[in-house]
Amino acid sequence: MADLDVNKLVQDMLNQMKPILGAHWDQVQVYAKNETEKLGVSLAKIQADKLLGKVSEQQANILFDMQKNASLAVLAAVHGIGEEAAAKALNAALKAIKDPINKAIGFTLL
Amino acid sequence: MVRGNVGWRVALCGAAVVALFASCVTSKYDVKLEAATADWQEKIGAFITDAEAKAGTPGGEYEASKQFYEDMQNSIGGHVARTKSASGSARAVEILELLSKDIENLRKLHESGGKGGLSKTLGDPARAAIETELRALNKLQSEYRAGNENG
Repeated sequence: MADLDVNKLVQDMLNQMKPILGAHWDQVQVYAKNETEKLGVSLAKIQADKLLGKVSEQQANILFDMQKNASLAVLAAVHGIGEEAAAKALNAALKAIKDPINKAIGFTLL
Repeated sequence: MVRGNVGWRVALCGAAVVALFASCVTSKYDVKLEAATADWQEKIGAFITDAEAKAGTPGGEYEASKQFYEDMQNSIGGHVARTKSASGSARAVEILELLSKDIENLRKLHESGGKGGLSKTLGDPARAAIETELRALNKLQSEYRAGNENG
């Protein structure tokens, strides 16, 4: 299994989120950066734990879903954004990293 | 002396009117939800710490903790219903629904642990995610308390 380049994942996710959040970008970019970093770190941890047999496929999926929900909550709480736009931005971000993640982790996580 | 007392009464009435208007302006601020968020933070943190400490023992198995998950879902669901019926903050409802999903996710993780219960490998990231959601709820309430009503 290939190692995940967290910095590249974060940058790829941010590149997708920026045009969707458009006019709100200035106020949301700090949160977007923090949350994409958390998602990247979470994915790397899940990959490592799965490799060591500490978590099952089902548990890996649940843990990732929880991190995704947490990031969604943070973005939804930012003034003027709301969950719909936050979800759209986050889904686009995750779509951009889907292939490298699934390949690295060895099953369909995203 | 009497005139002085009247002056104070007028001033107090004025202050009460201002306070009343201020409370109208910050109508999305929800003191009950703010208190519940603090309560959940404490209860969930203590529950996960306890479940992790008991992991691998009969007391740490999912079956022993079913009531906690049920109580949490009832409590969150009650606040969702109350906020919706009062036409309160839609953003608060969205975050509450995400919190509810993650309590269910925590339950599934606990159940999936079988006799091993909730290990730290499962409990710690779950706790971090739920705490993030509770902080998001707090942030929202702080905004509303400060009079920022948009959203």
